[in-house]
Amino acid sequence: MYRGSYRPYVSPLDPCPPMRVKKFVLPPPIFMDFQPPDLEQVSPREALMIGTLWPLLADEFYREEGIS
Amino acid sequence: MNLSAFEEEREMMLRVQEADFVVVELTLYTNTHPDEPEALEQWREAIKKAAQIRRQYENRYGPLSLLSIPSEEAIEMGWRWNQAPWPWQR
Repeated sequence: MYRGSYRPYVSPLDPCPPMRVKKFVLPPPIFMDFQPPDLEQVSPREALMIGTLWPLLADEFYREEGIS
Repeated sequence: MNLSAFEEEREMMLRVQEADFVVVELTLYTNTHPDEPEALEQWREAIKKAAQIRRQYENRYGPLSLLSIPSEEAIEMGWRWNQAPWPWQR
């Protein structure tokens, strides 16, 4: 699960206040071409919280991190 | 553990959501892995479990969707869906 950030070009003509640094995350499924069978699974409650049934695919990105 | 009526209802709603989430995840998984017997079996079990939890919830707190049959108490209570409290306010 890869985190990255980049600095977009800021122009004086931009209508809104500029976002100097934009952050992004590359979740594990991007790097997998095909999900292998019989991956380890988590409990339904946990799955609802992390957003997937298989922790290997979870990317632990949280709202607090404010990734835009 | 003694939960207030509100917390109990929240807890059951959370279980309904969790069971539905598992069904969605396994449906997507079986779309890409159609010939895996264990996955298909787990998918069928998840659907049954979700329906069962949903029935439990509906027996106590009223129908969750248009397609669910209201229980006798709901009908005796004169279930009028267009009155407060709305489902998200309860």
